[in-house]
Amino acid sequence: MFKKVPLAWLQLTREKSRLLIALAGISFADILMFMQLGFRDSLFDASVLMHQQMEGDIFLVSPQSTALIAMKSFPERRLFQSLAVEGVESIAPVYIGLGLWRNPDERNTRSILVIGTDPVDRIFDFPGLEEEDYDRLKLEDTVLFDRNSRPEFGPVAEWFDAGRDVETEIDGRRIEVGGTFELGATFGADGNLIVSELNFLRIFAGRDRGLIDIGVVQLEPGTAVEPVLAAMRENLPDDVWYFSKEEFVNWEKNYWQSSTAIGFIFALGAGMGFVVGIVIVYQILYTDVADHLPEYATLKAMGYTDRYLLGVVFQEAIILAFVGYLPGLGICMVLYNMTAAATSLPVFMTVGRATTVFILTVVMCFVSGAVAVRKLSAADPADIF
Amino acid sequence: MDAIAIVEKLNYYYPEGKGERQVLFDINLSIFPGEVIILTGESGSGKTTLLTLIGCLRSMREGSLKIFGEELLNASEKKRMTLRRRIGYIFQHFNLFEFMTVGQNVQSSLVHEKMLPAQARQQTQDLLTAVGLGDRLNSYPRELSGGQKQRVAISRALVHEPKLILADEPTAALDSETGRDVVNLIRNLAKDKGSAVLIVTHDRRILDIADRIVRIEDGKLITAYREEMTLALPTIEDQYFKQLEGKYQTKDFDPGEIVIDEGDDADTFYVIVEGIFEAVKIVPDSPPKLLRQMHKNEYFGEIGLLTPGSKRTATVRVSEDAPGKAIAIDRETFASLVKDSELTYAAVSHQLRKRLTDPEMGENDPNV
Ligand SMILES: Nc1ncnc2c1ncn2[C@@H]1O[C@H](COP(=O)(O)OP(=O)(O)O)[C@@H](O)[C@H]1O
Ligand SMILES: [Mg+2]
Repeated sequence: MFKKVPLAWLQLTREKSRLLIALAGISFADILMFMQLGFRDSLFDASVLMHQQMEGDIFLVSPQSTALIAMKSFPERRLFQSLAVEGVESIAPVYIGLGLWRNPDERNTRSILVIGTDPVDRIFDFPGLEEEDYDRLKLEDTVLFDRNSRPEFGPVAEWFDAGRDVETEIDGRRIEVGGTFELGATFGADGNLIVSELNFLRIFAGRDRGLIDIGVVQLEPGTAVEPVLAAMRENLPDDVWYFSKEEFVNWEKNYWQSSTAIGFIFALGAGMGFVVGIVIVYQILYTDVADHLPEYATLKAMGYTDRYLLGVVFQEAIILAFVGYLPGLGICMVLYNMTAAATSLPVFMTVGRATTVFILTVVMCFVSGAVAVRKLSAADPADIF
Repeated sequence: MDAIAIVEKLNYYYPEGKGERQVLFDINLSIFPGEVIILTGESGSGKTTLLTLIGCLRSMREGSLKIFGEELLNASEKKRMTLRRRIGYIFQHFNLFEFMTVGQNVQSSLVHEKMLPAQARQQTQDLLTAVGLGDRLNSYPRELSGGQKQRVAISRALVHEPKLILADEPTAALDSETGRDVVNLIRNLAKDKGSAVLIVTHDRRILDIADRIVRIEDGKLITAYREEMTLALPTIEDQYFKQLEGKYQTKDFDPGEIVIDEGDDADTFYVIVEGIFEAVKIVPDSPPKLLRQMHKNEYFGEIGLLTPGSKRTATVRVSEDAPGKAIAIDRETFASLVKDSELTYAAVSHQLRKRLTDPEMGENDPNV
């Protein structure tokens, strides 16, 4: 027993069922926020999976490009010029295009992202991509298919695994699937294909050789990226952008976050979780204050200050935030694992998100507390007799 | 001795509709250290209002109200709050904190005191032991009976040793025996600490614990004739008071003032409310001989009235030390009271017989 009686804690734990409801409500709000933010981040993460799995230190893109699905080509000459910069070891051009894939089973078509690369460059690190896949890529009209593409593209991977020849067409040109890899759908593309530079130009007859979409630069081992980047920006024509890998990733993310409504939609979802949480916590705290009004009035009569009692309500809010957050966090970890397994989206808990949601929970409880304490003024010590 | 509370010319109004309604009129009352005052009156007469005003729970704006020497007229909320920490409150419905243990409830009064936790615990334990709940420190109020709850509430009201204790109908939620125990406890603990107690009640059975009884009627403070007489004549019944309404009056006497002169016609019956009254025999050429001293709740003058046409056989005066106050009832009213009520007659005879058999005073007892 303390001299200072832990009022807030005692008040809260007295009504076990109400406390449970409060905790369930806060956990629910937290789960909502976690899921929305988790989906958003995982979708953003997915959109840069390809960027991250490209082996390169510096990336060249046209300033008119906005994202992988909206690339503007630039002369391959710029890439050659970068070879002159000290520290550069090798270069690799990448072509990007959107083609119409015909589902080999149902025969309908669907837009697919086509990545053109020189098979000898071997710049992609995607799981499932083997040496012999690159070799097969050299064959005429042979493509590699992303087995994490959406199922609407047809049972390509199943057929391929079963040893069947998978033949279909892109933009009307007959092609054959020569191998598979794993990348995954993004906002912009439901599926992905890798083709050789040559085949790319065959499929997209309108595209010119020498006009590329991404230039990948690899530096000599042990070379720092920043000085090389600075040198490129300094000495090379500024009609292309020179990105470090991180900048390249952020450039793509930034497009999805700020130039589309996607970030907003998920923020809205998380915001709804936040509001739901405020309403629930407010309800709990308000009822708690209202139910204990005679007790608060008695405390006031005994000379407890308003500040002291406000403190009690805020302590309750903070306690609720803490104990409501933990189960929410735990449940979310489980849900993330289940989601990741079911959707092949890269959903996982990050320290940053756990912190964000925790701070949001505290703010949420605090706001509710601030509204609920107004009820305290109804506790009039003159009315207790 | 400085009064703990001094109420002077206090008026109080509640807002009503667009205007306001006066509920307390020209209240004058002083509460002295160590004194137990009972405030009684019909429901709605303004008892609670007066109690909350004295308890610094309401702001007042007319008259004067001093608690511990501090004027409350137009006092700030903060000042009232600080004063409240020096007062103990006891409620009809106990108002215990259900979510705290008994010990925590009592300790909640010590939050504002500058003392070490160990000391607070000790003080709590000691007081709970004193009220017979030393072993219930860790119980919750819901596990206690009504009387036990009120004991906890009393401990909470007294643990910080306030000089003023206010109780509103502390026995109303208790059966009569428990109620008595509880007020006795309040009285004894308060007397031990020298605290003044103001108890609002209309429970007649506990009136006798009071040092002083005051009554509110329609917002005005008056002497509690009825209660004083109940104490003097315990067997008198409510219905007789109805007949008495308006037929008695209080008389104030200065120290040493003569109330009855030997040889006068016997025409009035007195019940002592305050002060000490002395029956004396005036003997020529020597100081008056003191026959007996009479105190609060005793009465005199009845014997002359029981035998029509008799004269006073002794002189009664107020003692030299303090003023006195008595309720005076005329012959007719007294006669009807006695005639209508066997019990009253029995009570009067009882006191008479007691006086006559008093070994020291017996033979000299005057037929006042
Ligand atoms: N908060 C209030 N507002 C308005 N009128 C009140 C309030 N409290 C009491 N009254 C009125 O004031 C009068 C005195 O009430 P109260 O002091 O509670 O009497 P008692 O305690 O003697 O029963 C009653 O007529 C009551 O209706
Ligand atoms: Mg009342």
